[in-house]
Amino acid sequence: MIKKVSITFFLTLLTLSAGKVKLEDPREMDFSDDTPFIPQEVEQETLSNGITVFLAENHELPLVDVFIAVRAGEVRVPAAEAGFAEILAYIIVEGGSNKIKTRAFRDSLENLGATFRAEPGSKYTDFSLHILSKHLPALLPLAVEAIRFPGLPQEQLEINKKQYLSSYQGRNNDPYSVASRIYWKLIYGRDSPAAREVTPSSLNKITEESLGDFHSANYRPSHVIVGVSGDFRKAEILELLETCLGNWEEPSVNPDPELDMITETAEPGIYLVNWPGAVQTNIWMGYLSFKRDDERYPNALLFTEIYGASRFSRMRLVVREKHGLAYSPYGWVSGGLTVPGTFSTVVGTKSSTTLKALNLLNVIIEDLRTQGVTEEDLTIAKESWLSAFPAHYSQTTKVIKDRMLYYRYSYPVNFWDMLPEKIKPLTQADMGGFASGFLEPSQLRILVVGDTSSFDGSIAEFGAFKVLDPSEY
Amino acid sequence: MKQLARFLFFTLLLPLITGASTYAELEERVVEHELENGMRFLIFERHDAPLVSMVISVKAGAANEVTNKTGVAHFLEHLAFKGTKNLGTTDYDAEKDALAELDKTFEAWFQASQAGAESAVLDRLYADFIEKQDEAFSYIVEGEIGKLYEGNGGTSVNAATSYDYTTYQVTLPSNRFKLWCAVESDRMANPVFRELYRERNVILEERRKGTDNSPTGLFWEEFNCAAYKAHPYGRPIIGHYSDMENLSRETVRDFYETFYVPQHMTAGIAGDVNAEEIIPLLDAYFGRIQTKPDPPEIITTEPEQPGIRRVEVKLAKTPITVVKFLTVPRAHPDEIPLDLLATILGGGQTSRLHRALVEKRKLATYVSAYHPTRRHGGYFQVYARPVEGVTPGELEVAVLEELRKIKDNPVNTSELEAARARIQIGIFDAFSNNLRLARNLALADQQPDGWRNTFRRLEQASLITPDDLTDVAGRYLDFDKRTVGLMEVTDD
Amino acid sequence: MNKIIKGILLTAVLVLPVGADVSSEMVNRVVEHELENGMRFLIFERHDAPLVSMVIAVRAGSVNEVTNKTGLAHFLEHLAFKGTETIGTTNYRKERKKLEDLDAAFQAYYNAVESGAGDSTVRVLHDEFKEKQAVASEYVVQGEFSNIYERNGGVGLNASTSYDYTRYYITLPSNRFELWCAMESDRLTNPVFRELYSERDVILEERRMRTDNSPAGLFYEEFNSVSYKAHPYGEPIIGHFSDMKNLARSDVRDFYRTYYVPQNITAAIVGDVEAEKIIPVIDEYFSPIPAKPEPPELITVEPPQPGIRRVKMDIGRRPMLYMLFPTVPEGHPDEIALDLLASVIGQGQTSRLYRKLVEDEKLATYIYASHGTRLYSGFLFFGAGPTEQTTPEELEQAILDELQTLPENPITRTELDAALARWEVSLYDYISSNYYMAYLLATSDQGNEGWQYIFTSIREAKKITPEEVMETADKYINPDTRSVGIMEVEND
Repeated sequence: MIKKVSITFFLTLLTLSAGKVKLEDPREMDFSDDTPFIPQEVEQETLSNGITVFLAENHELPLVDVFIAVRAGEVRVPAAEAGFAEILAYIIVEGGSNKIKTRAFRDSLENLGATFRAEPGSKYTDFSLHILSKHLPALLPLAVEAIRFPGLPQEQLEINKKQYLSSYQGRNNDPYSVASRIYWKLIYGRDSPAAREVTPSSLNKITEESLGDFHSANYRPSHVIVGVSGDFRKAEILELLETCLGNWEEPSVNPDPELDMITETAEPGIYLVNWPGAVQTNIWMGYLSFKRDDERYPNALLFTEIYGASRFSRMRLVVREKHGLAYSPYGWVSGGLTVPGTFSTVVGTKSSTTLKALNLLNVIIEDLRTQGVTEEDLTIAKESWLSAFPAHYSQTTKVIKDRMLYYRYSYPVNFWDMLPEKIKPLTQADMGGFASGFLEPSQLRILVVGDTSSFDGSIAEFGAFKVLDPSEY
Repeated sequence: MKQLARFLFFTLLLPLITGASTYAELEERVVEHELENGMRFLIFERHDAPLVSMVISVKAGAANEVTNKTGVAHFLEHLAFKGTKNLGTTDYDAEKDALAELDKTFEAWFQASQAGAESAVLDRLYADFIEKQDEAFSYIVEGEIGKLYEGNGGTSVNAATSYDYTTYQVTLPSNRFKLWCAVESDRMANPVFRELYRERNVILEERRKGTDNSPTGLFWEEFNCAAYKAHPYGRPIIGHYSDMENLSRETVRDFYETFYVPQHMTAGIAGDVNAEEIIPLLDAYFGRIQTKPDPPEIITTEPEQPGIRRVEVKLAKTPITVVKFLTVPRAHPDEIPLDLLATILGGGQTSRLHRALVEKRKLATYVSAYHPTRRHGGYFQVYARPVEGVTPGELEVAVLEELRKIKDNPVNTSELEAARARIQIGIFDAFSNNLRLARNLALADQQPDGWRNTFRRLEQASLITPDDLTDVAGRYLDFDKRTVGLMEVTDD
Repeated sequence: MNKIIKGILLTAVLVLPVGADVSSEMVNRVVEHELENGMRFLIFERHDAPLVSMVIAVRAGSVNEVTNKTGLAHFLEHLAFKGTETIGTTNYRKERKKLEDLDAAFQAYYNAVESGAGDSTVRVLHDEFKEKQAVASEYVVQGEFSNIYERNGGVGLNASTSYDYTRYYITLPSNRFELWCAMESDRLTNPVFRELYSERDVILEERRMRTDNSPAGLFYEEFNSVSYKAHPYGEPIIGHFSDMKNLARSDVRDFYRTYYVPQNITAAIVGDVEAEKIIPVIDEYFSPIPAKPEPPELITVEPPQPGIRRVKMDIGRRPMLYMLFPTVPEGHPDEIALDLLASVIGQGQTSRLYRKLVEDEKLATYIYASHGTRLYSGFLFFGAGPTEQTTPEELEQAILDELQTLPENPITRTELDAALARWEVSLYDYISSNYYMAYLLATSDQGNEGWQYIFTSIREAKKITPEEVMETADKYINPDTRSVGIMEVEND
């Protein structure tokens, strides 16, 4: 809680008090009655074939969410075949199983108001089923069937390919999309499973058959984690899961190897995409950070609050509020789960303030690097982070997803719950040390997408730059 | 199908017994509270986590704006974060005078620049303005509302402006509920629109980001504008650039004074609070918002569309086809049949349009239909993306062909059942998250049919027959009165 | 009035030598007079007949209206004929009170209807309103304002409202000049907007006649609406029906007080008067009009058009095609070249489009182009009628194709000279009429460039080269940013 010197208006507030309630100045309120928050307990079970299951019941609403994570992401797919794992994921939720195919499959889900979704990530593909609890016995087996024995209908594959083709064609539609696309390629490499995209030529390589092979090798019980939250009973759900997943046997074929997430990193420097006619310049800049198990991660969380992600951050108060240069300037230091995360900054400013914004960002970073954080910075960042801790677990589904996330990468499942105790003792000196050690302006890869003819000066004033052609990225 | 039936039959043998709530029980749990000044509160207790979400909805939005002043509702929403007579300032009395001086110098500079004064004169006036602005800034406590909320663990601190409403939201640790009362009642009662000139630059950046620098954004603005001839729904919520550049403190203040009246405010509160305990706080804090007269109603009504309107924008590589038919406002008897029709025609992959255009005819990569209703009018819209080699215009023809089929091939009962199932789960979904629930309650309270009707929608939907859908399709999907938007692919 | 104009035209042909120096001679003959309150007078003596024409132009039109109140400028123009505190009433002191009662009764009735009061309440309030209306009307001397003019030999008494201006016209025997001063200064100072409710019914009828009941009118309204996204030029001058129905006396009075300010008014007096003699009379009558603050400037600017906008209707009696490209406001450096471009390609039977599309290819029954400029923007407009064998879309394509051929087939000096000759003739035709001369003088004096522009523009036009005209064609005829209106014949 921030304490400010109260002002005369506070007195006016007092005189306005009505009934028994005394009106208080919000800056003077005392909330020391915070009690330690313990998130809802999640039970961890194992099916007979070794699949781990996380369970959290909540009977308020007649809804159930089932999450099935499969370690079969794009990271197992060579760059030339990009899209394989993603398309497989979509075709599973859209095309059904080999018993119950497309039409009947979708009818049975949508007719009951259910949603079955796939979120393909680089490492894992996450499936989720959201249904009324009374439909669990009917729909869970249906969804699992699709994951285990996908129908892979040719027609659905064609549809998915067309959808990818259409988004590929639109990849250079506007400066923002171009900046966000190219930035990750500069940081993680053009071929990185985290940055590359599906291309017409990689689409050509995807067939029913090759999808089937990929599925057989990589969709296997040892790659699966299950989570269930909502309105169910433990004994019954375990029985149901055992029936539909417990008999899944590990195949004899080896899974495809996981490739490197970072393939190459561009040299530090300025990368320019000239976009005639753009009225706003997109600036993306940053470099690789570290993994989440790095001891600096707690510092990074507080630094992110102070630097660029909160309403009291430098990005917000200086770039946006003080200088009115951008609508949603944003910056963060993330910790990657399996590979380093990034220190990143994203700003969109009108063409005629491009250099002004770049200079300002430079000043902000340099100031933090050399001066560290202020006492006020540290106090508010800590209070903010610590008191917002329960919001990380605001719903049962969030608790389940958190547990599944850390479990899958072999972190302690309560990784997040241990953070408050690591953040509390951080001092100004700790933060200053972090900033001076971690911030390296010379390491920045600065991507600028805008109409150079309308800039407030030549980008060359800012340093040597390389011009990029978005069609080559 | 047979296989499926067997499969379902088998699994249904294992019924799960649950103790979850019914609609009636959920409705019962909502506590309604109204203050003397007319402000309303809907409270839903849920003690799962020590968190509470609050959303205030003000029945004022872009549709209440007038010519030359578009964007003011959204600008006000931004400025509402700049503080009050108490928050965000070190000395309001002194700041007040500084702000008055600042506005004068700005006006002088602005008038001179409009009159085409010499650059030397303009430079001098601008320097005066900057000087006064710096003076006004010297009293500012930057971002104090944001800091108060986030420093206290507030998440989702945000606000949004639509045509009909402006909403302010936050989720807080539940023991900080009082903080929300103090901050929100203060900014609803005593806002000070400080930092106005530089915040104007921020909203202009917002406009560039969403519209002027985005082909898709520009396309939607063009399309929406063409769909209305008279009603303010045809204007961009963020405002026209020229209007935004000129929004003044006086304009913001007038809008606030006229439309931010307590009888047009409802707060939804959902989470770990005890209604009995918080009601005295609500009374005390929000009771200080002064009563004001009812704001003027919107007079302009959209006349019946006499023909086809279309926009064809060639700006990007992702082609789009949109077809729109104006329908009915919220709570009109035809609303629910039209909702159901939209779901059946274009809600998801089992919908008729998806099957016909994506699967069978392979003309589209994506198609959907929806029927949003606002206070003063709704619309039935089909959005589709053509496959490579098909033009947006060709896809439009195909969309119309498929819509026409509803006449000869009416909706069947199982399609209707499926659409109802979606409404059913939708109602529960609305309750699943505190923030969403608080927003839904606040907004539902300001609908012409009141918040309780949220729970009646399934009941109402169960009375609708396939014939009702054929009937609304015939009356509203009139091809001679459509608005079409085509995003065509750029040449190069 | 027709007779008079014809008469003047005949005499003009005899009197006016059509030569190069005529325009500068004309400029010298205009006497300018400005009062301290800012009202301006332009006097042009011509003693051919004992008649004088007066046109008052007010720089206030529908462009100054705001949301919910469209149609206000035009409604005010109507009510300006209802008299003043001395004309049109038997006893203004008593009438004034009755008008207040009437407005209160109307408001009560209106509020009851809006709030959905019961039928019986509404009926009672309606009867009360009607009764008050009858009471107020007892003081009215109907048509007195017009009658006075007509009894004094006035002809062509009329008024008109456009986007930018409202104008009041009359031609009188020249010895009645002082009568005009008395009448007009009275209505510019003390107008009484009596008979408001019945006149509102009149303008609603006018709207029905011109727009709602007229396929061509409705088509134009649709086309015009879609041609603008932000600017009030996209609103109908007469107003939206819903707005017009609700225009109140307070709206009319506010608009009058804000925009009818002497510095925005010019009166042109053309005919058989002597400037020296009438100036003292003018001073005596018009000087007492109190000075008022500058009205607010229009803020909204139309953004560049990013695509094609189209409307299509099928309620016509004959097919029609409209096409428009946005250009420049009055006084812009490209204006004159665009005027010439329109003339060469689409004015008269020797124009390029006429020869090609009407005579050679027989795709159109008629075709014309024009370049219109207003205070804030302009447009290059094409209107055409397809032949029975041609669809409007085919004709649209044919026009675009023809426009595409311009670069290979550039405009020649001969074509330009012909356009200049036509311009000159029509200018002198206008000047030869007292009425039109007054119209031009008063209007352009309130315009962006001042009244001299009537004469200087043609001098500028003569300096323009065919290459410059071609440049404007290239700059403004962009097929990707056009607006198109297509009217097809009603099917059944």
